Amino acid sequence: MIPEQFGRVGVLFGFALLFPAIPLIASYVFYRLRLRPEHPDPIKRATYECGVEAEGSSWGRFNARYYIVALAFVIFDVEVVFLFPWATVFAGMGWVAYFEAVLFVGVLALGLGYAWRRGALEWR
Amino acid sequence: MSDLNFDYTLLIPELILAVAAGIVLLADAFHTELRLNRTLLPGFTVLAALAAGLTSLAWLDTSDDFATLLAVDNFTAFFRVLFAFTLATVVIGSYEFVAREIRHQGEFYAMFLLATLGASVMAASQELLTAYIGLELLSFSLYVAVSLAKRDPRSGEAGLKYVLLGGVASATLLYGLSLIYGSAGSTSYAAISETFAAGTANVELPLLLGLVLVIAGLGFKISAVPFHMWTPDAYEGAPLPVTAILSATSKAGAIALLLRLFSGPLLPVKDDWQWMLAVISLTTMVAGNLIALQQTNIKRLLAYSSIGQVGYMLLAVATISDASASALLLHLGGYTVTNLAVFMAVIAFYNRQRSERIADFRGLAETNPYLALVITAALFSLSGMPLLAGFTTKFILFQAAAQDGYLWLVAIAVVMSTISLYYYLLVIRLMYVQEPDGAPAPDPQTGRLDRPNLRWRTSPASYAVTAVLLLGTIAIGLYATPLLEAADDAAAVLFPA
Amino acid sequence: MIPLENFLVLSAILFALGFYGVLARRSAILILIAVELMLAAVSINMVAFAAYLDPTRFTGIIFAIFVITVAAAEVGLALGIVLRLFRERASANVDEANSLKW
Repeated sequence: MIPEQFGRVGVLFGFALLFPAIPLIASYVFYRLRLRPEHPDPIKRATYECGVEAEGSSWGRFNARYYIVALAFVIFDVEVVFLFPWATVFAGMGWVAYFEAVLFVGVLALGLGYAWRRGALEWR
Repeated sequence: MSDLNFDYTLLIPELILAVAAGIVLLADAFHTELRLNRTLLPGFTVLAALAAGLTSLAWLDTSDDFATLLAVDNFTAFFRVLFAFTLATVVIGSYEFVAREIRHQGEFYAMFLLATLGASVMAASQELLTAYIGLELLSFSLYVAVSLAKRDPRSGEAGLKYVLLGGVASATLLYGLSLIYGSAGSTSYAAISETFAAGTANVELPLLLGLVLVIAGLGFKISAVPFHMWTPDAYEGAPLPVTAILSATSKAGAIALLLRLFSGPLLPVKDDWQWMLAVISLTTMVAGNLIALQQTNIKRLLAYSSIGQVGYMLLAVATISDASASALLLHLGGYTVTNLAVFMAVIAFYNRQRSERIADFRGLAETNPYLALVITAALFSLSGMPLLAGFTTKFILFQAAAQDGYLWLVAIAVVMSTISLYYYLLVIRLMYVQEPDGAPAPDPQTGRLDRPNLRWRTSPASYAVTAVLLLGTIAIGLYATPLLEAADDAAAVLFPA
Repeated sequence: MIPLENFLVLSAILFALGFYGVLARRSAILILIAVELMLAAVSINMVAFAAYLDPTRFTGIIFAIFVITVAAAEVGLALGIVLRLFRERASANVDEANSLKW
């Protein structure tokens, strides 16, 4: 019983490993066989070919101001978890459930309004 | 679904507190747009507290529950009134302090209201999850309140220690609760009690582990030794009114939850936890009172003395019965009044002298005899001197505990009470025997004392609050019957005849 | 079916690791991460008990949802306090928060 269940997960895991590995290996093999052309230039070798250029190391310190925004996001993001169980019983409970959820979201909105007013969303 | 009682009117006191907290927060944030005077905030908070306290009297002698999550009965009413009283007293006695020391007053009062709400939910809980949410609401509000004194660097440090250790404690408590849920298959007190009483829960080890973890987690919240390390630091770093709330509301809320848990769902497994609570009670009263002997800061002294008091209260939880639960509630009421009297007097002292050092109480009897009298009476009451609240309530408490066979523990408690008298007397001696700072020596030629007038007056609000609390301390000491009857009624809920 | 014990052992290991982290780490942020680990252990316990012992109701699962949200709120709060202390002292090391003792 257990080996079977872990076996299924194992198959998925193996597939997840193979999926990116196959193109990488194939690319290398084709390069060795001189089937793949190679014309490197700096733009191709950049971390992000399009978008903002990467700067510094990823181990650098982040500005503390990011925390405030991240905190506000995490808290409001996690509260949404209560709406999932609500959504499953909503149909059977009618308007009471609807207004309860409105109240819940309303309290969250008040919290967001308070954070906004206190300048937690400003970049300073 | 339909057989549950969703009567929201049962929760009116809690709803008042919650709505008031929201209004206070927003009124402070938008006070310029609303053209509000911020001095209205404490007044509004007091009104909300009084409204919550008075409305909760409407459910005296009823026994009802909200969706089997919260019970509304005499026990709940007792604590609702106690918490509302504490909140109103602290806010009246400290609004001058707050106006000067705290920048965000709205947040401060909102945290007090939410802490009171959380404590009420804990006292009313009929189910583990509800109790946990109440506990966290209480703790979170206090984490914020402790670190709100932005000008005092100690405040942030106290907040950090409190929040980190508090997080570990609540994780421990939760793990314990999860094991109890696993052993009983339900989180409702009634169902847990049934399962354990029937002996069908064939899970001795997880249950024992769960009990240990729950006692450790709750022991942290009531600052029982050896889980007390945060207490002196949080008490010292917090602004004074928060310290008062920490020692009154937070402690009483946790005791209420302990009573609900150990008199209900966990009573059938009493043999498993009784000795644990007895041991913790012993270490708490010994360590708290002995470490208090060498404190130089009045807040730290009161922190350790409150740890000692928790030891006495745990004594009653360990020997839980109808009589000891009632005695514990009585003691909690008397302790709250006495303790608030000390804190309000210390706040009045701080407003004038800006000092928390015990040494600065020198000569207070000369400079402000009234305040010295209040502090003396309250400290004597805390140590258990006759004629004051502390003696009566402690006497009944120890008597109830002794009847259950823990005579040796009661003997130690009495010894520790005597020791506590020593460090209270040190403060009293400073106030009455020593000369105040700045008093000149008598003129060597004439021998006459020509001193500048060092007298100062207590502000009217502090005067009124301390007077009420002082009278309460004396009244409970002389005639405890009304409070005793209330405690009996509340305890009768836990142990229906 | 995987037996219940496996889940309990997993959660016990996670809880112990978290507790070790709380004791061993010096940075307030890392201590918070360790506390999160302990709370994750609780969630696993709750969900496992709910699935095996109490399958008709969802008490344990709802408990786990509340644990998750309360944990998020706690981290938010604690980080706010750490941030304040960091502004004052330029350090989040708990060993340096030593102005209050005894």
